[in-house]
Amino acid sequence: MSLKAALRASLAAHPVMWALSALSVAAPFALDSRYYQDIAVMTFLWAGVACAWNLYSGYCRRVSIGHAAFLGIGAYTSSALFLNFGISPWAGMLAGGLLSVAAALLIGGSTLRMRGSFFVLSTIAFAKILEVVAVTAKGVTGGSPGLLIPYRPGLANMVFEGKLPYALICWGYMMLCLAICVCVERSKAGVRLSAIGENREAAESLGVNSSGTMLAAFVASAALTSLGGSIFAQYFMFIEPSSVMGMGNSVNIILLAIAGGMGTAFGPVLGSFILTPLSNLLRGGLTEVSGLHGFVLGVIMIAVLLFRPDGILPQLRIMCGRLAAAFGAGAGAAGGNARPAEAAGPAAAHPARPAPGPARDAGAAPWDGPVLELVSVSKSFGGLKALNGLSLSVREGELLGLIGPNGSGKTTLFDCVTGALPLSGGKVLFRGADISRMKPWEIARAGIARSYQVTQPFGGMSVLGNAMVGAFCVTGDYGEAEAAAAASLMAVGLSHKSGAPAKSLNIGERKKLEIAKALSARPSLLLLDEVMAGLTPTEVAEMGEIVASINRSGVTVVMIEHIMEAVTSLCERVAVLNFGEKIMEGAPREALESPEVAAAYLGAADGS
Amino acid sequence: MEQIAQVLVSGLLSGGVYALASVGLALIFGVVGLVNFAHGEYLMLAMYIAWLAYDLTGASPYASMPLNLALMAVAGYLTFRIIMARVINADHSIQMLITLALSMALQNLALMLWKADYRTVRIEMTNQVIDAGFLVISAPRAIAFAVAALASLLLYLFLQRTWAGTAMRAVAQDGRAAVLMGISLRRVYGQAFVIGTVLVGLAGLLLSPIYPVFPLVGAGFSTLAFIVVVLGGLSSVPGAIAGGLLVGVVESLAGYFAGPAYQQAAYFLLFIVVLIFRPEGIAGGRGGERRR
Amino acid sequence: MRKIVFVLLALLLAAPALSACGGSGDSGADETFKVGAIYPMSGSNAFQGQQCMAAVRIAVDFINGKGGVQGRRLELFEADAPDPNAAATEAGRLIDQKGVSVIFGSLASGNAIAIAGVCEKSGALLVESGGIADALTDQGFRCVLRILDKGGLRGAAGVDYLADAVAGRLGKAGDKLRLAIIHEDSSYGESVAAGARSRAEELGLPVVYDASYSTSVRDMSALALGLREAAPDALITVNYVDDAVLLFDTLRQYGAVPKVIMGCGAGTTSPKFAEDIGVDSDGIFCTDMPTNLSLDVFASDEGIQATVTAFREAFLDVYPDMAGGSIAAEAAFAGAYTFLDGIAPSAASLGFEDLREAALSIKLPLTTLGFGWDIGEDGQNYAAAANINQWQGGKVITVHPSKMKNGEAVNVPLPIADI
Repeated sequence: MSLKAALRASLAAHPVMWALSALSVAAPFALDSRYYQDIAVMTFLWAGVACAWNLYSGYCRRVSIGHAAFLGIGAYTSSALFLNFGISPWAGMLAGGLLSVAAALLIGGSTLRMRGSFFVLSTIAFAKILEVVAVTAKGVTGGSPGLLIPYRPGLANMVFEGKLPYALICWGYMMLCLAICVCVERSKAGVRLSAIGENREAAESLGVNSSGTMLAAFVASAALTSLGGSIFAQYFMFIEPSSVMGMGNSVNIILLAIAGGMGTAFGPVLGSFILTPLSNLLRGGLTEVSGLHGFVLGVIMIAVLLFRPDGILPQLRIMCGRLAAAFGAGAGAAGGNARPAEAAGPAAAHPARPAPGPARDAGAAPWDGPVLELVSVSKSFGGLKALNGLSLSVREGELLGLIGPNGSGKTTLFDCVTGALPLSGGKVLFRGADISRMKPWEIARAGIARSYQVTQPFGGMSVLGNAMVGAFCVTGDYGEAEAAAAASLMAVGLSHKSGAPAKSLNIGERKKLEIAKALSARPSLLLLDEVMAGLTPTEVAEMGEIVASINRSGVTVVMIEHIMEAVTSLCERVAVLNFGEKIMEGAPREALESPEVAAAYLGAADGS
Repeated sequence: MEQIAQVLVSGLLSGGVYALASVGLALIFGVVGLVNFAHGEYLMLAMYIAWLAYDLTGASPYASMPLNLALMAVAGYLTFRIIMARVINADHSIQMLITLALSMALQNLALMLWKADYRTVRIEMTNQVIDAGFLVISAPRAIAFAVAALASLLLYLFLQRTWAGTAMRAVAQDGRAAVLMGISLRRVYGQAFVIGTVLVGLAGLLLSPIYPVFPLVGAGFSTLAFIVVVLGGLSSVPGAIAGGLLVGVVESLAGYFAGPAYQQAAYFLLFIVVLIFRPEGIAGGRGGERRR
Repeated sequence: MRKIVFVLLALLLAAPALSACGGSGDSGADETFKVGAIYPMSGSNAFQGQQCMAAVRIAVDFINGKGGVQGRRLELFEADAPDPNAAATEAGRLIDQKGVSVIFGSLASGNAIAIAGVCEKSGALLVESGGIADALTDQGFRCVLRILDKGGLRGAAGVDYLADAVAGRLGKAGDKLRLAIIHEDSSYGESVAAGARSRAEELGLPVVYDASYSTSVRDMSALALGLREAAPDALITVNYVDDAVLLFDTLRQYGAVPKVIMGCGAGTTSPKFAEDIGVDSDGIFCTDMPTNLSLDVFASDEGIQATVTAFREAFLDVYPDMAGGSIAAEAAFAGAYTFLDGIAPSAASLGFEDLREAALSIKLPLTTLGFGWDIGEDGQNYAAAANINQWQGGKVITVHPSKMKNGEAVNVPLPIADI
């Protein structure tokens, strides 16, 4: 989907929010007081910065409390270039953006792989270090006394007499950030970011290069924030380390985004539209008791977080939806959708094909050997040998059953094939190529997809959005991905749920979604981990039908399964694992009758 | 050589207080899984209680300790009941932000109640020095260090020897499994939060003869405590103590060799380096976080 | 639950409307003379900001008690500015919403610069009696009137005094005195220290130790050790209050007290400093704007003498535990009172240009700060100078310049000196 199409789609989905954002430009013109104009300028500026923050932290659900550092890099770069070399801030802000990109690559490269709270704390640490640098590098930053931008009005200097030019610049900045967020939301990157935010490991198994995607988003977010920093400096015409890079600004950005609704394009804008004027007016209005305005603001924030942790925007949507229902008008579009890829429309818009397309081997070099070959694969956890020199071949187009008692290493085998666990020994060949050292997302893109035994839906995303994640292995186009996802959903019989949030599904539907997610990646090899466990007999039959039809369409399938009737009816061949070793391989009947297999199951039963 | 020894001793002495301020957080962070940015504000609260007791009755912070700790327990319990209990299962970003908002509210509440003045508790002890040869050991810091060590030891024994403590460790290891063993998560979370608050309160009252109290006094402590806790390997009490001492020594060394302007930058840098190369912390054995 | 949310939303939406109502109520006839005051009432500088605000209130009350300015009652509008960004916004609010034409402020230099930026565009005057960063009057702002000395000059004054009057008493030649400089690293400490540093260089005094620290520092032992090792003759130090006490305590504990301590402003001049460290403060110098002057200094003008007395009483009513007075408050009072009493009544009108014209043309021999009023084109009061004071028996005694001094320097070297 082109940028234009993305914008058009967003316009159709969120007409009210777009109108509000666009028309807000009139506000400073309508207000004849410089004070209110000043508040409008700040509202736009902070809305833009919060949007920029949201681009990474909101979609990935990884909070950065250090974004003021990028604000500072932008502010100091453009100001220092202007003061020392007379370079126009318009060019300076681009330079600041580039410097922020460099800083974000450095910071992101070292911190993005950290988990949750560690990442948060490391962003604080980086921001503090940069603040110390700003205080001590007096030659460039002027140290604590700060830098003062001389009052020489002119477009080239980005210094103006009145507030209105600043209002226009800040509004433009806000709209730029908003448009970028919207385009990202409706793109490969946006869907992938959301998936990473929900479940990084599952996203990687669907071909998402999480480190790369996150780093790109972090860098883009830093660069945009930095632009805001340059504008900040030009507006206040005075910067000092604490007022630009202090933690107060970082926290403010987050509060705006959270209050509005993080991870939604319009949330931060709405948050700033409400909170920036509110906090300024509270400070101006509650001067009698010092501290009162901060206290009131803190209490409001706590209340919002306690009772509406998703922010105000989703709440407004619900209210708008009710209003629309009450008036029976088609105005329900007011709210639109929270998370990317949540629209229910596309399934209808793109008539789905009856079954997913053929496996992705059409263009690949011809290969007659086994699709997958494990050569004495070992995996140990400390002293425990989960896989012990296991060798196994999977033939092109077959449906292989993988059985064995609990703890025999079946799921570990899947983890080793998909790269989720590094091998301790041996190697894995996929179509003759060694994939043992490849990362999970590389393996997924090569054509191996899996489902998880404990289902791993991206709970906050729509069912369709879930299925879209994998589709980006084959296409970069949003529309095509939607169509592919819709086809996968149809193949497992979930089309009717495509607009629902994944967390609302029941267990049977979740199992189907697991398959649809994997199927969207158009794998040539599909690894299914107990997709029938916990299902009713009817559902088991239905699932068997789905698996069989996938296999018929040309996809090689390996399934771990405990329900023996299903295994015997579906699989031509089974492999039996016990204590990390393959104890036999053959037709299902043979396996069931083998005394060795029986002993393995009985022994395991005794042992557990 | 004497200088270096002195720098190390001074660092260890401040480190003791950092350690005490942080063990409470280690408990809250480790057991409840809560990133509590309002932790420093409870330190501030305890310092104000110590100051009020001193100002009204002339009692030294050591004398008013029982009352102080009791009030801190109440404060911790109320905070848990009214706010934290509701967000126990929420996304960690929501928890973090609610504690940020709480810290903002508490700082401003203190400003409203006691104005921004610097309140000092000047007891005789304040400037006394323990003479140990060529080394200088400040008496209130030494007391703080000793009490910190004692409190940490008690906490350690509590965690190891009592049922409630064992339950806490179980929850820290694996909350879901602990529930299956019949442990009430809510109860354990509440206990951990209250104990954590009391411990940081203890740190606050021990600090009151050393620093003045004012509404923003706790602001830097929350981040500092987090760094200590992460360096120490999260929920580990001995780890937090080692982390606290390490931060104290690093701060002191950086101040002496690079200049006091770089003290904070030094431990932030240490923090990032440790996170990159040894994410399980310097003292921790177990890997990373689980429930976040 | 839903009700709570609705109430909350209603509150969110209503608050701006309410504030707007409050803002539009003052559009009546131009009977009052509207003035504003912007100080940090919350945040890290709130301690002195609140005292300054109290002082400005007292000044306004005094003037109103005397019938106002040019027959118009004064109306004071207050604003809280914890940081420069807020200061700029609040200045805009006072000027555009409340219609003030004069703003008193701002304590922190960063705030002062931010306010000046707004005043410059809006045609309001900033009477500055707190921010001492040199930049405020070096930037060509037409709106700034700074009644205090500049930070750079203050640091220089301290060095001058050490070289001229102290070195001899230590048995050293004026240019052989070994100096150490320790300052907090905000714009205040930086600008004063820079002045001291460059004057030391001019005079050829060796600076053997030079370090800065952040006010959030919790342990100053590194400074004490560094100082002990460098063994200077005199220490020049710039601090706020709590860090001044912590620094001095640490120097005591580590046996690192030099023979002479010259504090520059805020921290060491604060009564809290002497109160906290007690008798050990005897002999510590502090160079600062004139403070807590003996009433004899004002003998030449009984009116000012009475005003100072009245102010000190009124301030003590608000801050009963600050018997030693507050230097920040005295300066804030002096700025507001002198402007409103000595300048504004003589202006052709209460408009910007006329007020500025009056402020620049009128020369006053004496203000409540002990020095005169002589504002240059750049807005700096060139009659302002730093005094050299010394703590003696828990009181600030002025020992230099001679026309203001009310005592002689004692305790050189300090009896508690270790190095």
